[in-house]
Amino acid sequence: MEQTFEKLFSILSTIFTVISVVLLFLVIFFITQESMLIFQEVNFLDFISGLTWNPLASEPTVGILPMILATFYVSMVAVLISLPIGIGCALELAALENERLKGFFTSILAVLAGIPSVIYGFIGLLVVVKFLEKTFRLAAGESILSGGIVLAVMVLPYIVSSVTETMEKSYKKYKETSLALGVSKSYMLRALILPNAKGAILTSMILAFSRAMGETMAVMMVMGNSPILPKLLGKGETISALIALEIGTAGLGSLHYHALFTSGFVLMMFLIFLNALFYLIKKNLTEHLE
Amino acid sequence: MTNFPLRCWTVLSTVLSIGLLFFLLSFVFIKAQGVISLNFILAKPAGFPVGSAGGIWPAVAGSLLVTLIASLFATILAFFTAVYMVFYCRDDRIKLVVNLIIQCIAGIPSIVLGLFGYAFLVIKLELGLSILASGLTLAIMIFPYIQIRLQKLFLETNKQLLEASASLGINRSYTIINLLLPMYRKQILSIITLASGFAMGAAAPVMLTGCMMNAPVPESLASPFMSLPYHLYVLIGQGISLENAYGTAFVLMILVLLLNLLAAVPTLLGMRGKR
Repeated sequence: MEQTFEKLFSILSTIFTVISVVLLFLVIFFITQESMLIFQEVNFLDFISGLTWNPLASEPTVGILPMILATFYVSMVAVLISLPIGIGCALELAALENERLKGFFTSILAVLAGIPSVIYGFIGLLVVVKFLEKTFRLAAGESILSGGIVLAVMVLPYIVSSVTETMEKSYKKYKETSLALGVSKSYMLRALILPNAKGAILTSMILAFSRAMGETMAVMMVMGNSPILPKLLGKGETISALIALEIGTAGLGSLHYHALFTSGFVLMMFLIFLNALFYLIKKNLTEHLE
Repeated sequence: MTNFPLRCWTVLSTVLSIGLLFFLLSFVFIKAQGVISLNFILAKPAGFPVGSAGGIWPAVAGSLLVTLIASLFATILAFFTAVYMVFYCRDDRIKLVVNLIIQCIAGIPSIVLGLFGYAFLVIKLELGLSILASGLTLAIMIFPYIQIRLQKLFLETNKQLLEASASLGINRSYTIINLLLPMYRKQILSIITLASGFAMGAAAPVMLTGCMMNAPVPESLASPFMSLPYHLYVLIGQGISLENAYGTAFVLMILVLLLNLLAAVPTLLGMRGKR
């Protein structure tokens, strides 16, 4: 009886694993397959370097360079804004002796990471966009900058938690020695902990960048969404926003439909590449530490 | 002398990061005060355009149901995958491939998963724009989150414990169900509730796979539904009603916070137990 249950359990777990892996594999396979069809009509290089997106014209053109640039631009702005704040916060948390306070701060950051992106977009629209309109006297505050600010808030928890993890380790490692040498805590943070966390800061930047690139709702609500070359205070449209806004109206199997899948494929490839980079660097770093 | 600017920087950054959450919460809570009532939560959306009056009940119900479907599927698949990878798989190449593909999916943005859900589940498998298609898409989205954490949990189990269990001639399945599950009950529950929070807040995958601007509470797995994040997006994006948008944001935030709190409760209790 028990032997049969054991057998059943092992078969069950094998079957479910196969189902999961097949399903996940299908995601990559299906997106790739649907997006390859477009290359019968359009050259790959023309697709990613084309400046005009007009799939519904009588002579349709599909170029997604403005969207690719906007995606990179807004993610870069987000990381640049978020990084100094994130590192500062991580330094403070790593050196915090009060465990209860540290636990409290950590859970606050976890909650921040769990807030839905629509809510960030909603508040961004009412606060950030309004603020930019007033300060820069813009006709419309929806811009790359507003998207960058909203995304900066969204990626902040990821930067803080991944940098804190490393800093905490090196703080614990050198605490006794520094104390014995009579070195002040601030000096230790500045001269030892911060330079030691260079690798962790790099990986956290990649992580934050990939999070920002994949984000849809929040950026879509605050960036204005016009497929033009991005400027800091001008409107822009990310790849994810393009897909979200247009897939509902694209006719099944049309050029428009496949072009959107190809945009998704391009985005997916960027992110898989960033992820791979993240793991390679992280693996290298942990081996280096040990 | 350079210590002072450093302290200023770290303290300011911390205050800013922590203050953000309180700003977000108070912003939504204060503005939503006038809108929130039992009637708002329990009534159907009304008015023209739809949503400018009335309540949000179908969206609340739809969000809860789709989250339930997603968590159920994702948990079953992730649990057995983690068990297989840690306790049954003996081939390192298989482990490598499975881990690799899970990591890949973990990095794919939710909108691309939505594309997959639309093209494969809705159209190819003919599920239609439905709560089932959306639930499955969300399940794929949160599967890596749950699986990676469960696998880590199982891998970190004390080897001696497993060896002792094995040397007593106890089956692996018995050990997993009667030893590991009770031992990790709290952690597993908190992983699942956090993942459910992500599923509940996601708008991009559901808006491609079955979420509607206006729909009744779903009657079957095949019916389309309303969801809170998408409802909020429509209310604000099409300028339908700012007041109701605040109310919707408030309810969505409360539900997600509740899930977060639920995830934190076991750990909090556990910490108190240790002292």
